[in-house]
Amino acid sequence: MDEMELVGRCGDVEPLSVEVVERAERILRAAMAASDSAEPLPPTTRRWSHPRRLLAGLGAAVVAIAATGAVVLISTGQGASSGPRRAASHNRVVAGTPADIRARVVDALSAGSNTILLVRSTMATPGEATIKSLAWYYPWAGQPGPVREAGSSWVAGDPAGKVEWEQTFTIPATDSSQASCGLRPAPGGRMVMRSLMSATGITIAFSDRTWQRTEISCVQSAPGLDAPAGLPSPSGRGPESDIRMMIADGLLREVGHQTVNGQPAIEFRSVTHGILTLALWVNASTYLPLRAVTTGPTGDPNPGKTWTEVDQYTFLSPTPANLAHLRITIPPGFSKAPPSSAQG
Amino acid sequence: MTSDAVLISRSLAGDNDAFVEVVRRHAAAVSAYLVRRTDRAAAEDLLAEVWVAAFSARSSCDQALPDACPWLLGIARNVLRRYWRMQPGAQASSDLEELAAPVDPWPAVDEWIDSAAVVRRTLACLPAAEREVLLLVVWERLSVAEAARALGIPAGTARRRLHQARLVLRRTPEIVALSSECTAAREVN
Repeated sequence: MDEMELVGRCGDVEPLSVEVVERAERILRAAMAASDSAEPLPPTTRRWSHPRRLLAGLGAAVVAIAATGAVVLISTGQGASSGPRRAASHNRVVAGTPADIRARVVDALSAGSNTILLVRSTMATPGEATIKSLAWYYPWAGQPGPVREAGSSWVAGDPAGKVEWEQTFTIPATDSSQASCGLRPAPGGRMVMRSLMSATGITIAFSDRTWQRTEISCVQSAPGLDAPAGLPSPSGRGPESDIRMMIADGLLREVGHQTVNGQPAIEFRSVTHGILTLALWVNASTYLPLRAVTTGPTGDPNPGKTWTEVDQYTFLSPTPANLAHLRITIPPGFSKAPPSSAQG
Repeated sequence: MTSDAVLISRSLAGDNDAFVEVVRRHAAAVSAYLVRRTDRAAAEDLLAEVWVAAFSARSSCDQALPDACPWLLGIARNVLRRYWRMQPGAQASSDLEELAAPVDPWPAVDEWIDSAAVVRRTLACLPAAEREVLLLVVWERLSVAEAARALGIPAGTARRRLHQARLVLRRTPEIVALSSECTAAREVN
């Protein structure tokens, strides 16, 4: 292997998602519309470093486009989160009874343990900054054994102020009830809140240039495809994927067929009467999740206000380059903060 | 297929869709260029900025050349430079072992990270001008002439810089050792 091949090997990267590219295209079109308008672009438009600021300055032209709905998504950093488009053939039915389809989804969710799950999330609350995050899980299917999670989250438009984390969970090979969080004996005869699943890791805060070791003693659900906190728990909540359990238990039911990111998808909706709602789209061929949208009330006195979390799922093969995303690196000069412990 | 040069010419005459077609063609190359040189989150934000900057500067694209990819990478490079100037300096930590978690099921990952770190350290020691030519040729798979176009330098200068960069790599003991290890491993497999 010569030096050129060695350098080339370091350049293997996972491409940006279709959604990101589509978002960039929408921003480009907004800029084109602005430049086509009678007024010249203000000089500052050429100095922005983030799309959000870029849009803020595009002025009236963008406002006009926002009226069409396209830019609303961009301005919250949710290019990837545009609602699923109704497919021309949306009434095409995947063969099988609803129970058959649910069984196929459960099988698909149980079979992919040697796969990395990448979750891209956007959390939008009216009147507040939009939070974006990336999280990598391996293996993701919630099977007994160690599971590594790494990720980062940041306020949309401010990636420099991000928080990065890396955690290792150990999912016990035991019945689910034992894994739920509760008061359990600890060394010294004390009783502490803990589950059989705990996590240790590192968190790096780029805003104040610190890092700390973290320990979570009471992990309540397996990492990866966990349902957002607040949804009614599936029975025997434990070391299994929440979404898998919700489908198996019939708490998520098939409601239709759509196209998501250009792929035929089956849509599921939560059928519980809780205050949160969950919509899930799975690939109609592989039955693996493509996207989940959770909504819930913000607690604002205005009853119509809700937050929305959009999660996009990508499944990757465990190549060394992909697995390397599960490691974070503390930049030099960052100071160590006291360890933190928490219940998760 | 209509060449990039023709599409850019149409966009200068007011056909915005023609320009969108150009950036679509090269979205994968420009995305990969950004991801390789910054973190993924920043690359996601910068992609749109590159395209908007390219649209503003489309009259600077040499329409005698059919492929606009090198020109777009040159625009991406300028956008990245502006971005880097705004960022606080940060380099890889040297104390990875201290940070290793108790459960570490991935020796292959360590090996990949270690060898990547050696290569990246060596690349970081190259003069920036030589490194840029080398990476455009190896990572972005441009010809030397195309790399020269992306950087706005004569092809002969690009060729000389690439030669210098390869010479430095070949003389770096860690790279030589890594090359031998990889060759040996490949022969075993």
